[in-house]
This record gives sequence, C-alpha cells and structure tokens, in this order.
Amino acid sequence: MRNRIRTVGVVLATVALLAVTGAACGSDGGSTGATGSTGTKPKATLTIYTDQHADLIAALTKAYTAKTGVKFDIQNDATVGQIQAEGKASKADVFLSEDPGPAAQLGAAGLLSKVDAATLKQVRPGLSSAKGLWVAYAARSRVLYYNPTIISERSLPKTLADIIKPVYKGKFAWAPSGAFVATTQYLIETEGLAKTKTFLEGIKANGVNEHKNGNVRDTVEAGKHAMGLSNHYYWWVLASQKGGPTKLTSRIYHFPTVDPGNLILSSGAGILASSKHQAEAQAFLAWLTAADGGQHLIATASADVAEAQYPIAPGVVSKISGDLGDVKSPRFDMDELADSTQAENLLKELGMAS
Amino acid sequence: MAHRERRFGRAATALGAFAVAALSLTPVVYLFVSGSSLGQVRAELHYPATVAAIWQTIGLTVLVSGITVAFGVGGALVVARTTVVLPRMLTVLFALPLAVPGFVSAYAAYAAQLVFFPRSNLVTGFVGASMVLSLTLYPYVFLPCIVALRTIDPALEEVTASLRPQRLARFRHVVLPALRPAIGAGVLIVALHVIAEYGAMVQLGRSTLTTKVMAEMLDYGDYGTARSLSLVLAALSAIVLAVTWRITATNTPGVVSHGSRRPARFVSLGRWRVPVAVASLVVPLAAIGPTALMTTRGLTDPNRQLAVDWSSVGAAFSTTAGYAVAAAFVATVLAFPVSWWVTRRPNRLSQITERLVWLAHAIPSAILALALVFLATRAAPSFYKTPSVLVMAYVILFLPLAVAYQRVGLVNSRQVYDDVAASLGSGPIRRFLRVSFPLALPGFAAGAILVALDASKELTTTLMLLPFNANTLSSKLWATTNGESLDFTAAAPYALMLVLLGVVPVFLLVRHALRHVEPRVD
Repeated sequence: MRNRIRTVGVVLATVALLAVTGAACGSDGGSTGATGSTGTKPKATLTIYTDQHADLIAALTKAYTAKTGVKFDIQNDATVGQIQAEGKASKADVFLSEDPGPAAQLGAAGLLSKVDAATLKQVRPGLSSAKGLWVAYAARSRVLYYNPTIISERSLPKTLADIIKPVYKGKFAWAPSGAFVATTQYLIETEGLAKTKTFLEGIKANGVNEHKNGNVRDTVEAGKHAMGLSNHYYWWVLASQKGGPTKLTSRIYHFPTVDPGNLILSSGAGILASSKHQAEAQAFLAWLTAADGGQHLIATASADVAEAQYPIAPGVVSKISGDLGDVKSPRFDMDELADSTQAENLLKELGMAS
Repeated sequence: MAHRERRFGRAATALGAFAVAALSLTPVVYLFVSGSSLGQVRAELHYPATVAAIWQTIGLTVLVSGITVAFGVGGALVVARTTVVLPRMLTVLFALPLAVPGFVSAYAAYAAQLVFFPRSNLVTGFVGASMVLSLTLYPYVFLPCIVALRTIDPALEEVTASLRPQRLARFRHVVLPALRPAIGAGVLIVALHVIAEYGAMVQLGRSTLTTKVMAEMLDYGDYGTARSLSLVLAALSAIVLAVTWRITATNTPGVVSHGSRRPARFVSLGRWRVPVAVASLVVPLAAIGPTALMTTRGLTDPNRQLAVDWSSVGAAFSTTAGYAVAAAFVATVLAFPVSWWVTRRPNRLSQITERLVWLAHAIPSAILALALVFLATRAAPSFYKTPSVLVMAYVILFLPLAVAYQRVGLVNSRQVYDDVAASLGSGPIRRFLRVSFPLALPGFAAGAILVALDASKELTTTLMLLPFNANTLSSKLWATTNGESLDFTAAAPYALMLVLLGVVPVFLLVRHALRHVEPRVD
C-alpha cells in the first residue's frame, strides 16, 4: 500500500513539475513576440477575437507586430455568443470573422463602431458592410467540384439552378454549412421564398448530404460523387497537401456567367464599440486591408497559412487561387446575413439543416 | 462529545455536497437565466427533423450503451475469468482506446474509409457510427467490470452451482447482479458522452440534438434556440440518470465465506486459450487501428512539406498536462463530500445530490463554456481568461467521474472497518487517514486519473476558455482541421503526443485493474 501511495505521489509530482515548466514555456512561445519593437513608449496590446483559420491570423498579427510593435492577444474559434455572454467585460477590440455572418450579426447588434472611410476605400467595392460597420479583409467563393473520371466538364450544369435537373440525380454532394445557409438566404432575398423552396427541394432530391464542405471535397476526389457544392479553398488546401493541383483527380469549376453558384462571401473585420483602443484598432484594419500590408501576405502565403483565400484589395492577386475579379458572383448586401432566420426556418422545414 | 462531533461531521459533509452540486448545476441555471423557453422548444419540435434528431439521439444512446456493455463485460470476463493466454497484455490493449479523443477516432475512421472504401458508407451509417463510438467508449464499462468481477465471493458461486446446476445460472444469479453497479456506472458515463458528443457525430454524419444545438450557434447564430434545445438535452440526461440508477440500485453482493478471500473460479479454455485471445484482439485493434494507421500515414507522407515545430508541440503538451493535473486534483477534493455522503449515508437526499452532479455532464460543452464565460466575467472578471476558469470548467464537466470511482473505492473500504477502529478508540480523522482512505485509495486514484485523461482530451470548452495565446494539444490538433476535415499530415504530431500523453494515465488505471488479473494455467 505504502509503495503504491509513493508511486502515485512520484507520478503526480513529475507531471506537476512538467506542467509548471511547460506553462512557463507555453506563455513565451505562445505570445506573438515583439521583435521589431523600437518605440520608446509601450504599445497597446490588441485583443483579437476570430473564427478564421488560426494560422492565417497568427501570420497576419506576427507581421503587424514586426512592423509596428503592437502586440496581440488572440481568441481563436470565437463566436458572437461568447462576446455577448461576456457583455461589458469583453476584452475584444477587433473581431475577424471567417464568413460575413458573425461580422454582420455584431454590426446589427450595435456592437461595432464604424470603420474609417479610407480603410473601406482600400477594398474592392461590394465586399464590405454597406453601412461601414465592418470591412472585408479576405474572401472565399462558392464553387462546384467535379471528378473528370465520372463527368466531363462540358456536361456540368451551366448555372446553379440547373443542378436540380433530372440528369444530375444522385450525381452530387452538398453540405448544410454556413456558406450554404448564406446562399439560401441570398436566394430568398433575390428570388423569393417560393422559388428558393423549389430549388432546395431539388437539391434534397438530387443530391447527397455529406454534412461538411471538407467531406464534399474528399468524397468527390475519392470518386464517390461526380460533383460537389463547396467553397473554393478546401480544394486548394488539399492540392497543396498532396503536392500540387496536378496531384488531384478532381477539378474546380466556376459557373460561366454571374451566378449564385459563384457567390463571394467576405471575411469581415470589425472594431468593437466597447474597445478602449479604437485608434490602434483602426490602424490595424488599415494595414490589414492595404495592398502592401495584410493583403500582400494573404496573396503570397502558402496554402497551409492563408488557405488560398482571395485577397480583396484591387490589383492584388492570390498566387494560388488567382484573381477575385475573375469570380462571377452577384453583388449583394452581406449585412443581410446578420439575420438568416428565413433561411434557417426554410432549411429546417425541408429537413435540410445540419 | 463523540456524538456531537459525528453530527457536526455529517452536517459539514452534507453542506459540502450541496455546495458541490450547486456548482455543477451552474450551467443548467444559466440556461434559464440567460433566456430559454418551452415555447421555443415547441417551435423546434414542429420540425420533423428535430423530432428525428431526438429519436436519433435516443437510438444511438441505446445502441452504443448496448454494444459497450457487450464489449466491456465480454472483455472483462475473458481477461479476468478465463484461462486465456496473456491476460495482462489483453487488459492493457482493451483499455488503450481511452487514450484517444473521441473526435480523433471518428475523423480517423472516416479518413480510413475514404482511403480504403471510398464509395461506401461503412462508418457514416447509423450502425457504423454506433460501432465507431462504441469502440472509443467501451473501456468505461470494461475497467469497473474487471474490478467488480474480482470482488465476487467464489463461495457464493459454489452455493448457486450446487442449488442450480445449469451452466448459465451462476452467471445470471451471481455474476450479473455483482456486475450491475459497475455496468450502471459505465453505461451512465457512456450514455452521457453519446448525448453530449459533437465533433464525432458530425464527422460520422449523425444529426443529434447536440449537433442541432451547435448548428443553431455556429450556422445560424441563434443562441436562444440553442439554449432552449439544451433543455431537451437536460431532460434526456435526467432519463438516463434515472434508468442507470435502477441498474445500479442493487444489494451489495453477499459474503458467505469468512477470512481471506480465495481466488475466483476460472472457465478453463483448454485448446481455445490462444484462439480466444486472438478473437478478442479484434475489439481493441478496430478501436485504435484507424487512428494509429492515419497518424503513421500522416507522419510518413512523402508529400509532407511541413516541418514539425516540436517546441510548440512540447509547449502544448505541458500546458495540457498542467491543466489536466490541476483539474484532477480539484475534482478529487470536491468530489469527496459527495461520494463520502452517498456511500456512508445512502438516503434519498444524498442520492439525489449525487445524481445532480451528473447533469452538467450531459449539457453540450459549448453551452457549459458560455455559462462559465457569463459567470466569470460578472463574478470574477480578473480570473476570466486565466487557467483557473478553464480548470473549473474541466472540474464541473468531469467531477462525476471522480465521484463515481470514489464511490467504488469507498464501498470497498467498508463502514465495518471504520467502526472496528472506532471501537478501539481511534478518532475520526485518524480513522479516516489510517483506515478508510488507504482502503479507498485505488478508487480515488482511478477517479483522479480519469478526470485528468478526459480533461486532456477536451476540446469545445477548451477553445472558449483557454487563456489568450495558449494552446493545448487538442486545440492545436483542431487548428489543423480548418473546422472541417482533420488533416492527418499536419495533425499527426499532435495526435501522436495526445495519445502518448493519454497512455500514461491509461497505464496507471490498468495497473490498478491488473492486480485483479493474473495469468493462469488450465
């Protein structure tokens, strides 16, 4: 018995010691170091709440720290719900969303202060909040993946609406992701509830729900489905993991004309109205959206960092996924995505919600 | 004097237990405080898909519970009650799936399906998904069953055998009743895991109440509906708690013989000793196989361009271990009044208090995390975003594991021994330290280890409450998923470390169980 107590004690002590030393290393290693800091007065630390790809935010903030000395505290996988639960005590200065929804939702809740007009002007038109509550800093587009061993490019639907035709029955995968909800909300706003319902019923009857955009990509690549509705960057991420686009069997397809199937969705940057660092936050957003600032990094970073997301400053082109200007997306007010209740209710009614 | 002392002690224990139960209930209270309504629940139930998700949740819970009992009890009988070869090695292998987080095995199973059976729905169907979940959860039944099998008095079996010579009578009348508390505790843990699971369910294509709650938050930003649906989850968990209470509520097995215990009776396998071992290996291999395979493939991928940053892997490793040990320590201390009260004074009040502790375990951890965000930013803002709030979250989530295993330990350290010591003039504190505690120690240790193990694998709460710029192995692993598919090329180092970190507590747990398993000859 005494032996056993001693063993337990030794193990606990060892692990505790490891933990203490580790926690110490953890805090050095984790914080975005201020290597470039040369200023005399201590710079503010900006607290970023984000649900973007963690590596992209880490790279962007690190580059900004190197340039200005401003340090960052980062909350990854942040949600609007967390900020609301924190209430007045929220430490968030800036929210960097992945999809437009959360940024629009914060704006609609009156939690954001306006972004500087000069910053908004640095971005291609139509991508940021029309009210100026948040600014786009990256973008993704909806696409169709296809597997050429099963279906040829010329047999693909010419518009998203065609995918519910009988010839495509059982031929494609889809996923009820946030981007799918956004597409649904867009269709309701532009084409009305009845037409959207018919379209969704067609998707349900013709397609296979693979639950996640990543699964849509993987099942099309594996040849389980001929086509799949997803977002552009998942394909480029897989391509880079496999050693280049030529290593993949599947291909990316953009619908040839302006089409909801090419819908562009912005990643939005907003400044919390409660932030005590308004000026510093505005300066960060100005850099984030500048062609020679954050945009350059997004355009040139490898796929495992920037995930082949599109830069949004005019003239800046992703070295992986190309020019956002080539994507034929309809323009719409993404602030409308603050409330997707109609889409939510319709998808639930049809049993298509996740 | 002694009488008053005892009454004071009893009142203090009860008060402590109440306080701990109240702490565990904070997330449930939050559901009401921050707005949820039965009206919203009714509105959601109007959709057939919500009702279908409830049935799906119930179906998965029942099937996974059934499969885990079959695997857990079956495995325990084979290693502890037969003359199978290498029983100790089998025990270690059977417990090993505990070291792998549920969402990792689900992602691995899915990835393996894509590699080997790309066009099938092997793991994404109802039965396939149940199987994948069961393979990660059965050790929660297996481990307590091994210990319980050992506590059966062989004389009891002999008596039954003499009265009812049928082969199965001994199993039905002696072994099964003795296993009931272990099965009850195991099934409770398994069922609540299934009800609250998110990541694995999505990957396995299952739409459950928890995935609905998470979709409300993540896809629709509708937190009110998320909280309201969580009420339904809490109700489902209450049913599970009641059902498992019935399984557990049984008389403690009798003791016929006196003096020291004899070794249990073994089923002689004869020339089947090796084949049975090989056949039972299928279970643990199916459980760990996909994860081991995909991790190895990831680490040896020829296209792998990423250089592993081992210093950040190491930092995440020690942060994870630190939080886990802290959670285990606090949970052990807080669980004590509850487990002590319910074993020493098993009345209605103490039993209900003990059940309440479990309720938090069944609420989606994202809701629990939001509750703690809400509370911490108001009650203790200076602690928010420090490790203490995250450790508290782990404690609330995994406290039931500590309570359950402490109970097992305290039952083994019978009240009689304490009374004997008292009659010899030993004071209460001395009695506890010299008699009750040492006898219950294995249970306390097992509880603490399980808390540490589950805390080190936790993801959802961790993501929300982790201090700024800190990382655990799970959060690093998650960061490689892009919120979608686990990329085993980038994730492999973290998966590897997470499993290695898990192997230590699993080894400690098994060492405890192994005392009940020894190799036998026919």
